[in-house]
Amino acid sequence: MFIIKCPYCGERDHSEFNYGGEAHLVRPKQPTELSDDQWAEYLFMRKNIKGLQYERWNHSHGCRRWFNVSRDTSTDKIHSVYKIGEKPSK
Amino acid sequence: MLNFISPITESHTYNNFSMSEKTPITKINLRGDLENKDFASKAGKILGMILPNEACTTSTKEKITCMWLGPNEWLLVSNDTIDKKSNNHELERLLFKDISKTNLGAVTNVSDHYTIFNLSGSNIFEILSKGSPFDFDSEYFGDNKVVQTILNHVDVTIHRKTKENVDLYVRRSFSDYLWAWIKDSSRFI
Repeated sequence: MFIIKCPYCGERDHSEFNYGGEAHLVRPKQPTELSDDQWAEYLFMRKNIKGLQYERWNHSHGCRRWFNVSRDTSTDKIHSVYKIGEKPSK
Repeated sequence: MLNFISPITESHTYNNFSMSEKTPITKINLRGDLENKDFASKAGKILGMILPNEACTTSTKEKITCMWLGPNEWLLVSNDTIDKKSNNHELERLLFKDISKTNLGAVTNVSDHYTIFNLSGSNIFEILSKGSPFDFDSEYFGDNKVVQTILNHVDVTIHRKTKENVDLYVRRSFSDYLWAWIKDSSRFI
């Protein structure tokens, strides 16, 4: 159990949210020019680190908006929450 | 109403808690960008009020209540009941003409989408807390606030009119299930 502060609604229990995978992945501009390995790298390979990770979350049972969260995967401590399109504060 | 058949046929009272189904009222989902001045002014003109911009707030006029669902999404609820057989909504027509047709936003009639339970009594939030992760004692959740959350695994929209009078919006297909759950839960308060 942990609390996520939705940038639109405020603090809510995490059960109202859905996890959307790693954030800030940039889609290659010309997918056709990539090799299969490079494409697979973009499509499937995720960092899955222990420590601070940038993630996308969706407040699916609330306002249904997407936003980014930086979360420590080992402690579930949330360092910052920011809207889609914004850069994470280091 | 296209097909107004409700699975709920009774009202329920236990000690000082009671609930009944509210039938049927116009509900319209309105989406648009408030920063777009055209949209904001047109919506404001038709509704006769400014759309609430702050999270979980509502604004009310004689005929309509407008609830904040998201930063670009509102639920407009008529305060009057309508004829069960009628499928005409004047407000929808006006909004559709000025907002949907001009590509300023989206207007969707969700009248048949939601069933409304009207809960009253002094212990409503004790019952709701049994199945919801939301903190109903939060200082941000006062009168005339609206919150979307989960109640016993079902998505609900809870409109607190006063401490002892709450409207609960639930998808019609889940209403039977949720009704049974609330009815059962109210016995243990």
